[in-house]
Amino acid sequence: MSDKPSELPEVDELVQQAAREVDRTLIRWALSLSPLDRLRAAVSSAASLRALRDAKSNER
Amino acid sequence: MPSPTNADVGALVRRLVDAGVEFIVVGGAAAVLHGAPITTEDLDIVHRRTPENVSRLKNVLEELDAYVRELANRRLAPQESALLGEGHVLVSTRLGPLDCLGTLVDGRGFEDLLSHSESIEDEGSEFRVVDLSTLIDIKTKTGRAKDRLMLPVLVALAEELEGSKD
Repeated sequence: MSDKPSELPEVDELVQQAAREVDRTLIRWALSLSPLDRLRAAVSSAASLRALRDAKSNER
Repeated sequence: MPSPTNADVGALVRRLVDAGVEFIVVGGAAAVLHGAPITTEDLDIVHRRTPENVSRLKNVLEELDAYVRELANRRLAPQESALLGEGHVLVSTRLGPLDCLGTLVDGRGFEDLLSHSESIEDEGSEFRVVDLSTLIDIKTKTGRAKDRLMLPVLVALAEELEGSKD
């Protein structure tokens, strides 16, 4: 999968500029995982962020 | 809806595969499966809307105690007729939220997306995910803020994958 993307669709200059600023280290880390492990990491991160957000809300 | 800490989207994928449900992963989970380092809390799929496949999907949903989200104070099981239609059936399951999309916002359904999808094999399961360029195309066209935010990461990922082949 995703060995090499086929023809990429046109994206505007703003998106291209933002893409150049994306931290590639994180992408390389994600690519080092298996697809289902990527999914688990993504769900786990979302849960952690939600817990942080909820904790912040409770402080108010 | 189960707590996101209890969600196991990977297990949800495997349950669908094991039951023989034909589907294509789209949305944030598709981006993650390709290698985008983003978060996601649910699984979006476009399923084949044949009676046989919808029946298989419905069985899995029943096994996972699925109920339609956003029905205040009511736990309604998803209806087969809704799953056969072009609309979206958004459910909570014991393994996490699952969005069953009859078609995407641009009207494309399972058959339309099939040639724009790739097969993934992992942990003994084989399933299909929309390809990265189509995902970028979809996210560009929806125009929603959260999709626009994801675009730079997807483009960077595509560049990284392209670079790794050189």
